[in-house]
Amino acid sequence: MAAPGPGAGGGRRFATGLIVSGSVVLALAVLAAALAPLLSQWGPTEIDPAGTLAPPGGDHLLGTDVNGMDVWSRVLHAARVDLGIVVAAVALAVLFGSALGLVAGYLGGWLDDLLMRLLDIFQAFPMFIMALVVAALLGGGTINLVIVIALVNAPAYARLVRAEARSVRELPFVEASVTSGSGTLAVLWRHVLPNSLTPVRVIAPLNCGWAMLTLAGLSFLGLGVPVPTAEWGAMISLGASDVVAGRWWTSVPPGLFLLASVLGFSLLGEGLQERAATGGPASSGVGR
Amino acid sequence: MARATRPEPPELSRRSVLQLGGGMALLVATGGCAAGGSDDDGPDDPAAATLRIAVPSYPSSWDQDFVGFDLTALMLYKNVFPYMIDYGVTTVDGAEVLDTGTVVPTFAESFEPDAEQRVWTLRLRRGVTFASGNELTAADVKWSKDRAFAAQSNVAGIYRTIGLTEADQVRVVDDYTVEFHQEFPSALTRQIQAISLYVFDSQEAQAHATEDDPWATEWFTNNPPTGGYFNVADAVQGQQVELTANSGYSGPEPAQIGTIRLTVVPAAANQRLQLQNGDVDIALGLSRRDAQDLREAEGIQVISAASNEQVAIQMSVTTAPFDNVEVRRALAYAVPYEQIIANVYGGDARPTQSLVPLDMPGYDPRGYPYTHNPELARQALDAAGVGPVRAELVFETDNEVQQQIAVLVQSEAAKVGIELELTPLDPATLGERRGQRSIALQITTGQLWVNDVEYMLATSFVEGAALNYSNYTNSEVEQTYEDSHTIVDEAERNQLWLRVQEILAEDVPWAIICQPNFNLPVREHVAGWVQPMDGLARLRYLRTSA
Amino acid sequence: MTPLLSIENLSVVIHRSDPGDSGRQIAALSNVSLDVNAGEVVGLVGESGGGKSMVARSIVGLLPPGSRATGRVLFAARPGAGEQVDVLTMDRAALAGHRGRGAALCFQNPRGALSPTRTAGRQLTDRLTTHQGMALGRAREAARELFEQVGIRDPGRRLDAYPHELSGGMAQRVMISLATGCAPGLLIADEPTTGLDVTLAREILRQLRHAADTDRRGVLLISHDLASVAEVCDRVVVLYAGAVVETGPAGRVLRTPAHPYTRTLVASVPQVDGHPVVATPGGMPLLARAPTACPFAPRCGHADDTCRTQHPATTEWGAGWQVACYHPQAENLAGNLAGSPATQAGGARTATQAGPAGPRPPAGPAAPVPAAVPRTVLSVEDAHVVYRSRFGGGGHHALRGVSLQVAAGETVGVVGESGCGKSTLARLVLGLVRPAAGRVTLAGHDLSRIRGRRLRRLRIRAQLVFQDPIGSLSPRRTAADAIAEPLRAQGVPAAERAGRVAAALARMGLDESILPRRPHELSGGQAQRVGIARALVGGPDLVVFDEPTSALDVTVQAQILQVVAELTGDESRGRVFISHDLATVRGFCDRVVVLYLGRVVEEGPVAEVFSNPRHPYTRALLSSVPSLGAGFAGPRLELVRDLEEADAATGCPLAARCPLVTDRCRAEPQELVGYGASRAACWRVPEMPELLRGGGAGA
Repeated sequence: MAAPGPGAGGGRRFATGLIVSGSVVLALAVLAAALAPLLSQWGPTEIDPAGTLAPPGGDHLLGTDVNGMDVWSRVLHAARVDLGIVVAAVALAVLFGSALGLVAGYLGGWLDDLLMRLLDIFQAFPMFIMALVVAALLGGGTINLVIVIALVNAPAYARLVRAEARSVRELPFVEASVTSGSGTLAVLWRHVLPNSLTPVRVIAPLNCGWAMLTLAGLSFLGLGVPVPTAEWGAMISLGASDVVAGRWWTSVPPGLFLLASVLGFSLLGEGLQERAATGGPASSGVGR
Repeated sequence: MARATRPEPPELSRRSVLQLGGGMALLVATGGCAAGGSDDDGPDDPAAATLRIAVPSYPSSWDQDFVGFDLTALMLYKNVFPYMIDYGVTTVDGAEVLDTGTVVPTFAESFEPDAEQRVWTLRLRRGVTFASGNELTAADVKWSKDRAFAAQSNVAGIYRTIGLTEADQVRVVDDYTVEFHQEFPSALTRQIQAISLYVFDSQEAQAHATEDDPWATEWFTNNPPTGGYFNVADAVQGQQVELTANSGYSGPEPAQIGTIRLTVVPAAANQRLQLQNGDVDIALGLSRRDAQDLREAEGIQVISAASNEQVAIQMSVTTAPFDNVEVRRALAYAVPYEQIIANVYGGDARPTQSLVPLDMPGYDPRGYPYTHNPELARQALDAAGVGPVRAELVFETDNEVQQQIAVLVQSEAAKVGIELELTPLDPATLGERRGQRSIALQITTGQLWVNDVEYMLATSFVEGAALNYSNYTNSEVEQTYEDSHTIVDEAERNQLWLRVQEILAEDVPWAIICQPNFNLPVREHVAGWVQPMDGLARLRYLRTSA
Repeated sequence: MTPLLSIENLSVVIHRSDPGDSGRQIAALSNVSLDVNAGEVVGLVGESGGGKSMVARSIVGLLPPGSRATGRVLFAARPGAGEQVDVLTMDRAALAGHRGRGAALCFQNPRGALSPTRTAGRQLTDRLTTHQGMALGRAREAARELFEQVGIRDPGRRLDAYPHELSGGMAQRVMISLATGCAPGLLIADEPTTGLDVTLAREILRQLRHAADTDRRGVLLISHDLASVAEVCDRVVVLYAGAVVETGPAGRVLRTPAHPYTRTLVASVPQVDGHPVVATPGGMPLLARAPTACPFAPRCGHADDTCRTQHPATTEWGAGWQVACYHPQAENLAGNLAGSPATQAGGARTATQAGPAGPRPPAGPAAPVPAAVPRTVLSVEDAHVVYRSRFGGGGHHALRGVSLQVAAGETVGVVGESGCGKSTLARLVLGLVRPAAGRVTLAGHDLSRIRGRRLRRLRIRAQLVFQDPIGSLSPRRTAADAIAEPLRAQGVPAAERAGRVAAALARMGLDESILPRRPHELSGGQAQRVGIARALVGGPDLVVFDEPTSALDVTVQAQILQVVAELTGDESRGRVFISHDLATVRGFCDRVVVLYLGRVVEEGPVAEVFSNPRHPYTRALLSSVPSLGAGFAGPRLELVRDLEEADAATGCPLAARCPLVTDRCRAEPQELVGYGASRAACWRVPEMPELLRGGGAGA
């Protein structure tokens, strides 16, 4: 019993391991996206007159899909679309949701009630239905996609930040700031906001993974990026039926890339969560 | 039925027909599988002779007068209703096809016009009975067509084209003779009547009629008709229909097979697997790609035949920039016809040179002089003087073939300066926008059921025609159409059609791409398939070979 | 007779892996040895980081993860019956039996240590059924008896109460009953009176004494409250940096300490009788391994080379009295203040400003008014503050008719126990809370007339120094940011800001290296200085100190009190010093106001109130404050019951608890009436001397 307990050291190493591995995977994805034109000899929507559904080999590293476009090139270029849309959408969601949550949490009262009830209504719709409705109203197009995904994810951040803001506003340093004469905006910006973002930092990468799946789902349903833009979900949708015929190269590579990206985000998010749980600077113990 | 602009390629009963057809509750294929597989006679037993066919949906109604556009139902009707006359059979390129040029009496003894071709006399065979035991008499024919007129059913609609508008134009002469008095002679009579002359058991009907429902619509919706080449022995809602050959048919060429079982298998992938495993003999509902893949499969043959299905891009002549004929020409030159035939259809399609289908009497290759020529396309675009063109190209969502075509067209059009945005639409939205006539460019596929240019004009090129999505009008074409109503001489008609094709070549409201062949994968022991030019299989020709 | 508990050469080393320092290790305890006998109360004193809690945890085998312990912790299962078992080598089963039954730990935060979703009675019966194998019915009976024993009123009802329904004092009593409920041999009380009112603290300590005397348990009392330890404990052990520096009889060690560190500790504690507080600079180090020299040497005025190179061995200093020092001191503390090297090590500042550290020579019986009439910086007139509940129902009447005046250059002390409304008063004065009735005038502006932006501008005129120094600084902002914030809020340009911040720092005696640090990098004392600098940087007219030292260690408290004392010389502003600790207020306030349940019960010059309290409550407070020195000279008074919220409704708020209560007290609300130099709200004041001599309840 006098032996050391389950090492706090082990927990941190694990967390760091997760963060590093997640970051490595994501870095590779970003690299693929950035270097896509250099790594492939065909354009992503360039039709090879030689043939459709050509198996891997020869001119085409991963063969061609049903339209005659090079799968390898499309898979790489799709990284741009997927990563770009997802990161933009989550960033927008964080921005919008956090602002809302901050105001609601700090000010409280009827404003808080009103905002939270609006969010309740918004969140009562299943995510995909909401996405379908918004996509139907606003139409297709990349910008609208970003907005849809952002809208669907924003409420979570609003609630997280609201909860944090509510507890932070009771802390003495917030009162100290108010007594120093700072206005509400200054207090929010300098003191409440920076201390309310911890859960957001942890959730955001995980959210990117989910958002990517949402995007893939929307594309699968035909509501995503315009045909024939390369996007992993759309590629899987197009190539899914080929698998029955034994043609794996049209749907498996984009599936793997999608899997890897989501995994990267998840590892990163889990790592951050582990690190927060096993103690950041706030959890040092032995006396002051 | 009017021209069938199918939402999908030529094969019968493709999965997406579901979208238009019935809202039926469809059970999973396992039900059909189990039913289909439970007594598997196997191909080696011709004596037992059961053919199993997989269909994508269950018929939405048994009442042909009031059914919607349900291909499975329509196909079934052809085989279970007694049709007085039907098309003959001919051979084209080694495959047997239905011949619209010859219409032969099947349940009737004869169907002949008088000298002016205004009064047509239908003589019935004697001793033909319905399953109820009632004999099929002139009274049944009269009752059936009275029903059509009274309720303004589908038949009444097409009867107008041959000048039949009133019930009293159909007269019973005696128990086995009925006369049709048309207002004017028409070259379309035989074909129209071939579609329309199906007969109900009127005595049975009257037994089930009520005051609110004098034509027994409710009874007929839910109960299969009798007296055709096949009788419905058993029907399980949503799952399967079993047909047995009608031994009461005394005419020529009775059904060649004793029992046919149709099982509902909605998913094309399941149909394919069942076909490969030998659980069904014919799969009506596979995609073109499935058919191509199955060519190599063991135990399966793919029946291929020329088809009158047309694939085209209809351009709206009332929507800018396609209101400018030069722009339409530019697009016509930009479409990569050969590439589409090669890549999308694997070479299994016929190029065409006219908006009139190949095989239709009057077809002339001068009807569409446009080929894939980017240079001429650019010139045409310059001549148009409207600068770079942007438009949306609409096609059906979830339709792989149309999507492939759209991608190819987009790619080539971009090279000549036409920017196309691909817009897949779901059936509801597509229907709505088609109703509003607000689509600039759309890909259409479909077949004409009456093999005559007059019918084509009626459905697709006169003002306000149901399938005239390009909003095309031309006064000369209108006039020609009017004139053709009453001209029955073939040579004269062909002259008219030539003129029409010249006009269409000038105006180019459509970019006609090709006519894909019909492919049907069946098990090797299936024989006797006759390619139906209206897409509705005549099951009586089918038989199994040893 | 073998001791109940024998700790022999216990050393605990903790390995911590922070992101910054990998593999840092801390020697929490170094060769600690102590004994506790049955029937004895042993006090364990020291400051944060000294290792007191670690000792407690070692005894019950609850060492933190990543720690390694060497030495022996011998426990006798049955007192006097020979056989001792080493707790450090116990397996899990033995430990389960030992904890609660052998040694029971009573935690620091009573409400926090009770599970919020189980009733108090349930938690007690759980222990009884587990450790003593009682049946449930019998356990409930026993629980009831235990509650009564610790002095809980209406024990039957309290059995079914949830922890959040209990007041702090009640919760602490429940805590003790939980600990004693299993009839342990050894009771360890870890800071049992922190945060409790004086009167309640006294009661708790009495319970502990009772446990030792009557039940023959051993009690280990861990506390930083030296005065309490001196009164209650038989022996005391002093820890510094994880090592024992002095052990001996409690009264003698704490009144005439031998070890320089103990002397420092004792000198840092404010005394009710007005002895000056002596601040010793520096702080306790955190050692990475057992010390090879005397750990106190860097701060010790008597240290020489031997001290700095060799660890002193423990030597006998008297009967049962050991010291680990090369130069133990024999002189008395009180008389030798100015000459003591400890204070000289603190620099000239301490010596020359012995004046403010001691009682101010009163200018006369009236309030200390310098020659020129000073302006009034704060005027509170008959203020009532009611906190409304959001869901309707009654409100909480926090302040009832409080009036207060503060002039520039004056320091007013506000004392009272929990629930008296001191914090509400602080916020009222700062404009953070609006009075339901009455008026607050700050620097000539009527606060009720001003809102919004003007109110914000006015904020700079009154500033607050908080109770939690590190908590009052934003964790992600540097100290420079924090100090500059009031200036920034007023729109002062950046260049000027930097200059004024530097000036404020210098005044606090802080180095510029403090500026870029974040709060978690500052010590408690440094953080509080930053807080005070922030309060002063804008040149306010009024500074309110809200219990600024209660969250700090003893020696650090002394340092901060010294800083505050220096500030009292500033004529340009007024100060309000709020505290629950009378002794602190005595040091440097000019006047004192005593609050009870939202009302002012007495106010007057500090010397007057402390030497001759008029109101019974003030007297009771002074009587119950434990003191290392002489304590309160004068007849003592004790209140008869615990504080309950409903007492304040009608009549005198003290009526329910006052031993001198009459019907008139219960019926009539009392107004402040002048008696000599002070004013008190009690009509029996003129009779007081007789009452105290004769019939009234005594100590």
